[in-house]
Amino acid sequence: MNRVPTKMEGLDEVLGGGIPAGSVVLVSGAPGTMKTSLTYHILHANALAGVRGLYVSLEQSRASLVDHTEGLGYRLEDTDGKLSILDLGTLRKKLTGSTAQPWMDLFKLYTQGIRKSFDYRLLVLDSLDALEILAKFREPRKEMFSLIHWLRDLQCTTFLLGELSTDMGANGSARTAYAKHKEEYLADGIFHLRLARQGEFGMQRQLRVVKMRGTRHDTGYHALVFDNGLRVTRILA
Amino acid sequence: MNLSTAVVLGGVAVDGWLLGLVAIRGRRPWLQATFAACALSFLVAGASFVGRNEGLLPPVREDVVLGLLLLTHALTAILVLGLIHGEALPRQRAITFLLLAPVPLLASLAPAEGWTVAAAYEGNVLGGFLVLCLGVALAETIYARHASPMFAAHAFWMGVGVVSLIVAGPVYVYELELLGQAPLVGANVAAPLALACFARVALLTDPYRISPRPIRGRNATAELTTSDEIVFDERRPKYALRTAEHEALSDRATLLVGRGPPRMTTSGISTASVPADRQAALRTMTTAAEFLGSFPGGLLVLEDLADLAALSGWKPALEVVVRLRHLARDTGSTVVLCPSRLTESERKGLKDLDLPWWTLPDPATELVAILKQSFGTGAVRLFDAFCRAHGLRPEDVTTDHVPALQEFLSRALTELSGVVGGPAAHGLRSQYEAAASVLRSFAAQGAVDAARGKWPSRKATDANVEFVVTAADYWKGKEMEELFAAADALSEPEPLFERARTVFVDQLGEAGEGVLRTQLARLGKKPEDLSKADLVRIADRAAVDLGSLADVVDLPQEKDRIHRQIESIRKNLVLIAEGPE
Repeated sequence: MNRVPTKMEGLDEVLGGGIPAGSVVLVSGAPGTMKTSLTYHILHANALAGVRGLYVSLEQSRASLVDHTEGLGYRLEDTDGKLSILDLGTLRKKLTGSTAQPWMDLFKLYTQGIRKSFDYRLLVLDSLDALEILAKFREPRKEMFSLIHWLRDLQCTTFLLGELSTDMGANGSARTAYAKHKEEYLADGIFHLRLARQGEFGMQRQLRVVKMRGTRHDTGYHALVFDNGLRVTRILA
Repeated sequence: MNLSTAVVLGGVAVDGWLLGLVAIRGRRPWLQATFAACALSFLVAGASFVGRNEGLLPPVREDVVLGLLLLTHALTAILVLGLIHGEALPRQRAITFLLLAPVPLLASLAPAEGWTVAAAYEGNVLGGFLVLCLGVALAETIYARHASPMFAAHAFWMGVGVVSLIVAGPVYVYELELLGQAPLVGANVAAPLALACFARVALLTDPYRISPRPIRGRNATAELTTSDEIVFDERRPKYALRTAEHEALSDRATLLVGRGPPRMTTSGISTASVPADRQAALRTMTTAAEFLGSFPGGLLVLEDLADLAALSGWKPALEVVVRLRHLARDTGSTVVLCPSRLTESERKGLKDLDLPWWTLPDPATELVAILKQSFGTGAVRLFDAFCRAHGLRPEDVTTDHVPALQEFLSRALTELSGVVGGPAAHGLRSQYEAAASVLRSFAAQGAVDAARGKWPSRKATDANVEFVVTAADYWKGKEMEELFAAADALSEPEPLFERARTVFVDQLGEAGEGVLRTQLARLGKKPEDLSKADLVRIADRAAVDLGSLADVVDLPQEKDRIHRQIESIRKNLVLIAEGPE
């Protein structure tokens, strides 16, 4: 099986070598759990190895995203044009009557069009919630189902960022729902990111591969650590 | 000029700037007036402090300075309460204004009692009143922070403002006294910070712009007279909009609050557009409060509660629902809510509030059911043909489209008249008349009647479907088939719209049609009304809008490709506009 390495220390071992190519992976977590940084790392590291990636941002502007990721040491210039950022967040502000625009169609128009001129293999959609609001899903489950099928037909490895509330499953209680509209059943893989309490005052970011079709993976939580880049390690009590 | 005088002088300048900012940017006259009064009292107190210290002003009577100090405190408490309760404060909590009553009394008693500004916060009646004012403001802020999910973040900033006034007021004076230094008599150095916090809250919670402004003194012949909040449970807010239009035409002040751009209607509905920001719930509430406060007995339609839940979270959205109900009852108004697109758990939460719940039909389903009664299983085909002919999606069809549907069926029958004659034509005409009659009576039903549940689709399930098919068979089936074929032929989309659609779809794929329809909607046109002059305008506007599509891509080759597509769309639309019919 062809696998896409995350090129993150520790995570590829958890995944048994990487993510099966062409998978649609849901990355869900509360705000501040480094969903953006994690997926940007995967795109950036693969771009350095010559694999093209497209980051579609509906919330942050390009400038803000680049500022944020360069602060973490991911320099866009180093990728030699192999990593592209599609700044739909700015488009929202520039397009007159933006709320009435067919956002789902525009998203598809871009991702399909760019695929022709820039053959990307990795795609990140940041975020699914923003797209849902903009596109005004009338029947969220049905439209989510259709979107995920459409993404699968793109035949590139896709990461969908999903926002979870901070007050559920943070520690102790096992989370059972990772998405609002059951898209966890549709996705091929799920990364769950959380902030877990450490001791009396500390918090630790943790990552769990909840699901990854076609892979024997470790299903426990691991620490997601950022020092010289992101890495995944065992949780030390 | 010493440091403290310079700081107070700087504060006076900031106070003045904030006063102007809120006066210009704010949209709530009463709150703006309160803010202006409060800011002016701080400004005058600060300016007189500087003037006296720098010898620019003659010594002022102690009771006048004391009066100013009392006024700043009383107005601070009233302003904080106003920020929390909005424009409803003078109407519902007029007792708050009693805080102003002791101001002249205490100021006039000052000479006799020996009260001075320097010792204003001492343990006497004067100090007690000053602390009471700040205490009321702080307590209300803390209560709002804990009790209102919608207001919690703003309550924090108000808390910062009030606490800063306390720290720079009584606490600072007490500390200076302990250090044996002279207090800043009559001035509070934290006033600019506090006013900045209050201004932030005032501006961020401002109501949305309402356009057009309703006309006062209306409310003549309203049909929906309940002074309550009603849930219109329908797939899309169609009856809600229809009710709004009806009430507006009946001269009732009507406000429609929704996510989309303001609607162009001829019925005089006022609209407020909710942009995508986290304050959506709170600003919707202040908009509703301002509207219903100004137009008691009005109608407010909240087009889609799910939008508020998505933007601000479910708890604040639910708080809006609860507060709107109180507001409706207090002002003798009606509030209509649309819960379409809420999740199951959110719907359950809404149902738990025990609001009047009207389940309403989807007009598209009902129109098909009516057609089925006359035309049997071919009704769906007839309806689809009608939708195609008018460039409508079935889910967008409302009872307003009934006259157009009747006209469409009549045209189909006319087209058939040359082909089918005799009893068959007469039979079809009778079926049409029967359908038209039921269509008219269904279209005449408002939400009140529709909520009673006598829907054609419910009747249709009771009807003997086999019998309907047999009726169609009676006419040998052939005439029916010809009617459907005639309808299909009529349903060829308007050539101009179809040609424009082809241009957009060729270049932009599936998104093209949506982009074209968005442009059409902005012109206030329907597909069938599209003219050549419109095409030129659409070409220009689409070129500007679509130009933004290229700006957000960082790949030069993709930018070029999008620019080529835009140019191609523009050229082709101009060609159609200039070409023959």
